[in-house]
This record gives sequence, structure tokens and C-alpha cells, in this order.
Amino acid sequence: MKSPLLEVRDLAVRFSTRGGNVDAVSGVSFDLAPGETVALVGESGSGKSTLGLALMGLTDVTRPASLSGAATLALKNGTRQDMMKLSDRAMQAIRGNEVAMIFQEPMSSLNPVHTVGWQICEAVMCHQGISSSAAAASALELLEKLGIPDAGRCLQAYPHQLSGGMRQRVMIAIALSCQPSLLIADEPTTALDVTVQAQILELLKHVQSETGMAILFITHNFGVVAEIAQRTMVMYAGRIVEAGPVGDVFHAPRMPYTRALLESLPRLDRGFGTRLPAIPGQVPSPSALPSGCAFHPRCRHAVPGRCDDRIPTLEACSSDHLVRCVRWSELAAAAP
Amino acid sequence: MTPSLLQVKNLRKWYEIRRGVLPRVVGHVRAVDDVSFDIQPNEVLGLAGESGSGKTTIGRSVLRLIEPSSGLIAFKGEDVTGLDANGLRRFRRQAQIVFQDPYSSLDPRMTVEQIVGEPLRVQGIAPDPHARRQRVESLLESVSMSRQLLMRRPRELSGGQRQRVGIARALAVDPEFIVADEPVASLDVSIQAQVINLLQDLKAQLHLSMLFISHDIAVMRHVADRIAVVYLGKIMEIGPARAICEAPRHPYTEALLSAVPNPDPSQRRQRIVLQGDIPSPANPPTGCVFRTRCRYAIGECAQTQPQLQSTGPKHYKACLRNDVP
Repeated sequence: MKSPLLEVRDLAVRFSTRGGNVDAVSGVSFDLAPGETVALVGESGSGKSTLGLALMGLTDVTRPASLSGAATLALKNGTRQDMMKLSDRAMQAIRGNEVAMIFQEPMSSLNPVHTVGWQICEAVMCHQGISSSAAAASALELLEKLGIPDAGRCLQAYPHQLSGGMRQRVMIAIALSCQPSLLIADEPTTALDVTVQAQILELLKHVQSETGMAILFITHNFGVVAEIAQRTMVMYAGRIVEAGPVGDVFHAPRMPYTRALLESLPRLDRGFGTRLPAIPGQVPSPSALPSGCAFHPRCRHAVPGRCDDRIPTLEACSSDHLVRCVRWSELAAAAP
Repeated sequence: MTPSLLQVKNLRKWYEIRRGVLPRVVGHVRAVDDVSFDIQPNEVLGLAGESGSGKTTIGRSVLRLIEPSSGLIAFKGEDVTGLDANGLRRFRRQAQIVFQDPYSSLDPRMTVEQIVGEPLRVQGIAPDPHARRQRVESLLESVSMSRQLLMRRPRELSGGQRQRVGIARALAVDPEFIVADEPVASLDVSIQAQVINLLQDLKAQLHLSMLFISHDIAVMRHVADRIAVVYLGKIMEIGPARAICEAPRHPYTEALLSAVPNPDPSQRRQRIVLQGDIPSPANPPTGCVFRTRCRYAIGECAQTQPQLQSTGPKHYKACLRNDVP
């Protein structure tokens, strides 16, 4: 097996608030191979975006956070570096260059007072130290490669002059400008229409096949997972509760939360006029997590004394399929 | 045949584009252009379309939250386009709206009790505060919310709870018709299903009719009896929900359905990826508005504007070609 591009071990993000400490992300460990796409799925408040920001060293922007654990990245120069231990300055050299990120709302992530061309060139000039004319040429080439019609005019445009899908393409262009080996995509298609979403997913897959970069794709949409990823990790209340190949997780979900979430999806290939099996209750607030398994108050398989006692460990139910549930084996035996 | 509850004929909403020092009209944004449909008692009509298709403008025009430029809107046989303020108040006792964003559509300074009770006060239904509180409590119960939340303010509620408050407020006047404008779009997946089920229950219990607006045709499939697919201010196809989802007759509907991602990784199917973006409604294409992105377009599509024509029981499409899809 190839050595992983990214090794995350026991990553945790804790925010200190007036109301006490809030564990937004706890004990997250996973590997990401070069060229692989892993989807991180969860509802709002599950910690999936915080995890993405922590990997980019961007959590401090909003609130003071304490990070622990390790996230070791294989750099382009062949060395390996734990990004959690780097200074802000050292992280700046990696961010954008080795790891890039795209966000949900491209309008709020782009600078409204600069042209698109300026924003693409900024990243290239900053990391590769090339002249502005060389940067402009490479920006044009990049936009053309991303299939943007009339790329020359697009470079002169300001973000507000572009459509949502076009802005997201520009974001992708900025992210790709320094050929990163890892792209963190945080809900990049959520704000887009389904037909434009389809275009962006095709584009990401195409770019990946050409450059061989790895993608950590953060989403709440299981449909998109199957479209783009090989492996998936399901997050709930700051922890990974299930992880495995997309097909295994979809066809044989072992964690009751994953199963319930999949059942509650409105789908085109389901019966008409049927009621959706909804999950009762709501996602717990990270500042007031239930004891034991965080899902147990909403879980129809929960057993008092077992599920609310200790936080279950992440166990392997097959060689590459992990689940965090004390009852997974008995539930699997009862309902295949 | 029972008379329609709501009848919309040739609804049009054009916004004027003004330019110059002494502004004069230089063009029109055709947000809604010649849209006709009707809704029967206890029927849910889904309005599916992407952003910029005009679906929200249609929903708001029907309730006259936006003044339509022209066209007829008849509710129980009465034309509502000419109603004065008094007439409108009477009309809105029977027709209400649930907004997409439960964050901006609830006044942050009001309590749940005040929000849900406001229509009762405005309409003079329960002028006595005690009676009003009882009515609000029973409304909260009907949307499965605890009465302990009566004194809460919107910021203390979750997204799903806020949307329930929005639904309770719409139900307060005991309407016969509701426009639901993307009621689940801003909710988490596990909460979406709860609200979809709630809307289905309310339809059955209260014999509600609904105009259900959504960009998500998979959600619509669970709620709507019939679906109208809109693109650039025009209806492309309208028909029974099952026929639209399983045997679409318009190329746009076909593409829209194929773009919905399927969570089952073993069901890989042929995707029709539409090229480009939706054109500007200020300068729509000639002929069929979808032809610029349509893979079946022929020369004639640029000349002739297709009209809705029957393609099955209660099923109509606006496409010149009968051989596709």
C-alpha cells in the first residue's frame, strides 16, 4: 500500500466559551491516500467544517480554540510534516500551496473589490514567486483548463458579475493554482442548483484524474457522497461514528445513526406518498452532549445502562469498515 | 367536476429596467411570463425549478405579496388581483404562506406566542388574550411542539422548531390554501423528513391545498400530487407527480431529474450534464427559452415559442418535439 498523503491521529478541537469548554471535534483519526476522495458526512453542528478548518490551521480566525493530536502531511519536497505543530508562518507556506480549501458560499470567500484575475494571481505569486505577467498567463491557462467560456473576460470580472456556478469555478481555480496535493472542499456544491452541482462535481473529478490530488469532501448530502467519493466517514457530535468504503456504508450501515439518516432521505427511487422514516429529536448542541453515545437519545435501539454509560470505541466490523456503537454486532445479526 | 380552488391565468411579472439620468425604461426582466395553472381543493401542486426560474415570484404573486404585472388570479372564483386592503385581509384569512428561511421570517424580538398569535389578532379571530393563548397552544400541538416553548424567542429555537413556528403561524387563521416556499431547504437532513411528514399530515387532517415550491424534486415527490416544472419564468411541463418523475416528457425535466444525485453507489446511471448557466431573464432566448441548453434543440426551436400541449392524462409539456425524450 502506498504511504498515506495525510495521517490524522486523535485530532481534537476544543473551544473555550463562557459556558465552559465545548468539544467540537474529538478523537478523529484517519488516513488519506494520494488521489483518493474521502467524503466527510454530517449534519450541521457535527464538527465536520471545524475539522476541515483545523486541518488548514484556520480555526483561530473565529474563536480561540485549543487543538490537540497530529495531522501529518507528505510534502511536495518528500518530507513529512505535522501541521498541528507548525507556527502560523510555517503554515502559511503550506496553506494554498500543499493544501487548499474551497468553501460553500463562493461570494463570501472571494474578495468583492478585486478582479477574479487578481485573486488567482495573488496565490500563485505568493507561493511560487513568479512575475505578475507569468502569473496572469497561468491564470488564463487555468481558467481555460477548467472549461470556463471566455476565460479572458472572466479574469477581468469582479465576483458579483459572475453566476454562482462560475464563482465556484473561480474558487476552484484559486485552490488549484499552486497544484496542491490535498484539496479540502467544504460543501462546495450546497449553495448551487442541482444542474450546476452536477457540472462542478464533474469538474472536480476531471481535475482529480489529471492532477492526482486527494480530496477531503465535506458534505451533508449522501447523494453527493456516492457521486464523488470512494470512502466515507460519518460524523455525529464531533466524532466519527462510521467509516468505510461508500458501497459498504450505504448497503450495510452498521451505526444506527447512519442507517436512520439514509432511510430518512427523500429519494427519487422510493415509493410515492410514503411517509419518510424521520429521526426524532434534534442534533445535540456541542456544549450539552448527552452522556455515553451522543446519538442514544434519538436511537431506537438504545438500551439504558449500556448506551448512556460510556462513549463507545470505534471498532472494526470488517477489515476497512469502522463503527462506533456498542450494539453493532447484535444489531447486524438481527437485521443483516 | 369540482371547481378549482385557485386558478391562475397568463400570470406575468415583468420588472422594468431603467437607465439614464432621467430614468427611462430600456427593457424588462421577465421574471414570470404567461404562467397558467390551477389547484383543486385538497391538492398539492409542486413548483419545481432552479434559482432564477421565477418560482418564488409566482408563489408570492398568487398571494399578492408581489403585485403581478398582468394576468388573472382567481381564488374560489373571485378575482383577487383587484382586491383593496379590506378585500386582501379577507383573502389572507384563507390563503397563507410559509417562508423558506425560518431565521429571517420570524421577528427576533417576539415570543413564539406573539408570533403565532399575531394573525389571530390582526384578523380579529381571538381578540381575548386568554382565548388567543389557548388557540396558540393548540396550534403548537398540531405542529408537534411543546407548550413550554411559548415564551421562547426565535434565537432560542433550533431550525426545525423555527420552521414549525412558521407553519403554526400560517395555520393560525385556519386557511384553506398555503404557499410553502422552500419550507425544508434550510433544514438538516434528519429534520427535513420530520417537516415533510408534518406537511403531509396537515394536508390530510385539515384538507389543505398547497403550492409547494422547491428546487429539490426528490423532496417534492413525497409531498406533491402534481408537479409544474418552471424554467426562466415559464412552465415547461406540468402533470401528475408520478408521471413527471418516472416518465418526464420535456427535455428540461429529464435533465433536472438526472442531475439529482442518487445516494446508492451501485445505481450509476447516465447523467445529462447541462452546459452553461440559466440565461438572463432580461434577455431570454427567442423561441423556446430552454433551447440554448437543450441537447435536442433543432432550428425551429429558435423561431417558435412552444405552447403547453397535452401529452397524457392531465399531463402537458411545452416542447416542439414529440419524439423526445
